[in-house]
Amino acid sequence: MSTYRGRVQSVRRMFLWGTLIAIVCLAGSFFLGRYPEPYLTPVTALWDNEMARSVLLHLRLPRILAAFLLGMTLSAAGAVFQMIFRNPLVEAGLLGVSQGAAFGASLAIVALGGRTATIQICAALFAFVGLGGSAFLARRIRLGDWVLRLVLAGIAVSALYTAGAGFLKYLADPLRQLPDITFWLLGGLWGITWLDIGQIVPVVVPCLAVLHLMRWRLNLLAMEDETSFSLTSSAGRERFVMLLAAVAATAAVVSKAGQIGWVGLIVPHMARRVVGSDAQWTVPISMLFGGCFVLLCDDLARTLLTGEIPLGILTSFVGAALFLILLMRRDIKVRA
Amino acid sequence: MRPPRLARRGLAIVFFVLLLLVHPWGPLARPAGLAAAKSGAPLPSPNEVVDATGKKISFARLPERIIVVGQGPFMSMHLLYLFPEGKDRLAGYEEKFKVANDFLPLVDPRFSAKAALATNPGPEHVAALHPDLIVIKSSVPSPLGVSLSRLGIPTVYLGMENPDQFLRDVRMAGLLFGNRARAEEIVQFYQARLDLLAKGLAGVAKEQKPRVLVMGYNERGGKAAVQVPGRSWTQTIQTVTAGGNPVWLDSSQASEGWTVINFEQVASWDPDKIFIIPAFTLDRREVLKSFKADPQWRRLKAARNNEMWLFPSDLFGWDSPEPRWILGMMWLATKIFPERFSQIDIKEEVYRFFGTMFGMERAVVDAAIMPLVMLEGR
Amino acid sequence: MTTDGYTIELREVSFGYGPEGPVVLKKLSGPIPARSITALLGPNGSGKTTLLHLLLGLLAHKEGDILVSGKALDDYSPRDMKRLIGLVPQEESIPFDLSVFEYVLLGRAPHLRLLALPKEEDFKIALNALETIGITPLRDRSLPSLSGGERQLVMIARVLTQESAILLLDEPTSHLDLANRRRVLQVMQLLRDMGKTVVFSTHDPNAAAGIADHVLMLRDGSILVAAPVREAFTTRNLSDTYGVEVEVIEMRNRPMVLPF
Repeated sequence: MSTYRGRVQSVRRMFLWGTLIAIVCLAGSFFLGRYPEPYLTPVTALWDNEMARSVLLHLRLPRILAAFLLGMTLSAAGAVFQMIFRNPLVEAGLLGVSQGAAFGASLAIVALGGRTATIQICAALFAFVGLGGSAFLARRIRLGDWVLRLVLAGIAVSALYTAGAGFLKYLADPLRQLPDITFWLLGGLWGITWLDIGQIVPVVVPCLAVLHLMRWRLNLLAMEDETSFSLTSSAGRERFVMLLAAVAATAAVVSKAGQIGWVGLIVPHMARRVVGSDAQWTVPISMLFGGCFVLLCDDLARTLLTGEIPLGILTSFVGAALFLILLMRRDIKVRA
Repeated sequence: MRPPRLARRGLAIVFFVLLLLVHPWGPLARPAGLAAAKSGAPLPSPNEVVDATGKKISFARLPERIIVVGQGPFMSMHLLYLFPEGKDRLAGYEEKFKVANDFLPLVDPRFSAKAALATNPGPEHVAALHPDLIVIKSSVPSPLGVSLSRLGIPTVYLGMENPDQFLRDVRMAGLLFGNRARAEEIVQFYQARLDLLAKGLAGVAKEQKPRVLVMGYNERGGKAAVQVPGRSWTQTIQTVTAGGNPVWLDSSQASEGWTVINFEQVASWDPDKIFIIPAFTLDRREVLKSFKADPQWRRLKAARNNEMWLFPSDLFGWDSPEPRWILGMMWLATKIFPERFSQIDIKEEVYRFFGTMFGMERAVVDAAIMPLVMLEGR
Repeated sequence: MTTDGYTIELREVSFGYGPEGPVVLKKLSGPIPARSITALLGPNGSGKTTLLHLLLGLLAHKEGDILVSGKALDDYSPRDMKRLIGLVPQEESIPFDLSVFEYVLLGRAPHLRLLALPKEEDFKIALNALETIGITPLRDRSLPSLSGGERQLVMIARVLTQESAILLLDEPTSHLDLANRRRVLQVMQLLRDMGKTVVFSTHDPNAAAGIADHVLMLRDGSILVAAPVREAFTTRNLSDTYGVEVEVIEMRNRPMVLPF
């Protein structure tokens, strides 16, 4: 008894630390930028200088919030996908969600005028179609258990979308449209305004809330079919709801920020190393870690050099490096 | 029961696709006719040009069926049309964008008779038009060019990235058309204006040069981010030659493409003058209005001093490496250093340019070009 | 949750996959008495696991009735069914290192509302389960680090935490060495003594002989024998079931099956 309680208390403490770190990251990021000088902005700028105030409140603040939400969403979704598919190497890119969003965006750029609103709507639409397509296809495959079926279907749908996006890139005018699509595919938050926040929050926050509330049930859903059936009568429906929430939130952020890879894969792993594999802890800690991770990457993206570095490049770089390190240290944790 | 049949069908499709892909395009036997000499080989005739990739090509006779493909084909076509022989000897071109061909029909009433190739043609498509010369705008050999050379069709590359290269390309075109005199005429036209600008800026120290930002805008970053041109691009060179100090050059990034810059950085630079190049799909006047109305942009020095402009264009932008760049440069000079270049009458320059370079009469220019040019930049 | 003892009765139960699929189980009939251990015996492919899945409610039987304490299984609400029947599958392989305690706690799910988290009472019940089975020292170990025998015991602990009256076990001893096998069988006896109805499938008749009170012998989807262990274990019955000649001897008051 005492050890479990003790464990709960220590994880709660970790939460507190995590939240504190998140707040520190957010506050710190608030004072990082290129105006008026590269890197650090003095606190006095807030009341000294009208331009600085405007930059901080209308440009930086929505952007750091967006980065944090992006990180939270990708990580929570990654944790959910990994547990539901019983596969630690899974993330949004496996279900046709990211690729669908990328395809929708490319389509909007090449054929539908390339306006911001069109891009976002197309991205979200095709992300959903990607998930639906994977689910539908999975039911028709008669090979293996449902986890394998969905993964196979997801790969097929992702491949189709990638080919489609490649074809669109091929059609695009290399002078004008192609750099557009390429930058977008690499991901970036440089266009975020309060309006964008207003558009993602109504989708992302409820979805993340759903994932958070159902975090303990995720353990059940990660069991073999027979076991989860024996423990809950609505396993199928619960899986569907969690997947829907994960995909909806992901599509919303991907449509604003482009394809950002590795976050959904790496952050849940890191979270698991710290708090163990119980989803009750992994989901919320992933959200905190992920938020900070993407936030810090985005700080680098917008501050390090004069021009913007595509966010996807930074997250891939850091994420892949961490992943390699993780792979090479595959000790099974035995908690005493 | 089902999987084997599906698998067989799938295999058949894959096999068929593979067959299509492996179709031998490249290494065919060289047909008789024009020989493309490689450097070092003995040259049968004195007609020899060196193109932008440094390659030497020789001709037995002057090309009479020229096809333009590759990047921004309109740029190469406009250069060819600087010569009277251009309209006769251009046989076809790659149609990159429908809208890109509103201009040449004004210069050449028989333009619609030219063969238009679909985007990204393969060597076979191009060869089917029986060209005797391919022109591609690129500083490195492109795969299409290489394939066509192997078919025995000479391929010539135009650089066109900066004024020096442009003038060299003009001289090369003069050789290709056998009209050196015209080439020199063109070079003189440009050189005279370049000299005018250089003279006007003589003795101007760096600190006196206004800080200038030229930026591309395509709505996708909202007003939170814009793009700046590459270090060696035409826009950068135009700015420098017109006497401006390009703010985007003193940066740690040595990028060669459009670089995304967020507003914070622009605010940090706080340039004296801002020139906007909107994406050609956008309504230019609306773009300028929206920048002037934006709560953040209008706080910038350039906005407050009414030094925010639209980079001018007619049917084609004046900021790209095609022949109009000289107009862009001169116009920039009148905006960057109005007191030194007050004698430049841009309207007259437009008439002179289209008249001398393309042989267009004033009336035609008045009808088709002038209405589109925002001489004032706003 | 009081367990007055839940009897299961099969009446002419048939099952097949899909409308045109082969009929896997044919008209099974027989009792599974309460507070006892019933073994499902039979060669591989005789339908043992399918029968367990039918009892769990995972598969829907085509014909016949499955009655639990006189009430048709279909008439139980899903929630009641989850509280009533627990399953220990053949193996549980999760690529995440959940701790034993966290895993066992999952057994409380049928008693918790959808969004509820386990509370103090749930922790107590889980700990008690570990203690009953005698694996409290394993509490904080991670699942993948356990041996086969330990994992079986942990799975049984989970089902115990579920407080279900009926326990279904699929091949609980099939991959275990002698010592672990014995331990698991002892635990199963303990469960029976607690008043649970225990049903387990095995292809090893001696496991059944060791602890079962009642036996159902299956072959090709039909029940050949449904009887208490003493009656059922005859040379004739076993040979028919397995299709090989066997010899049944008596050893320490228990039947023992030797293959020829």
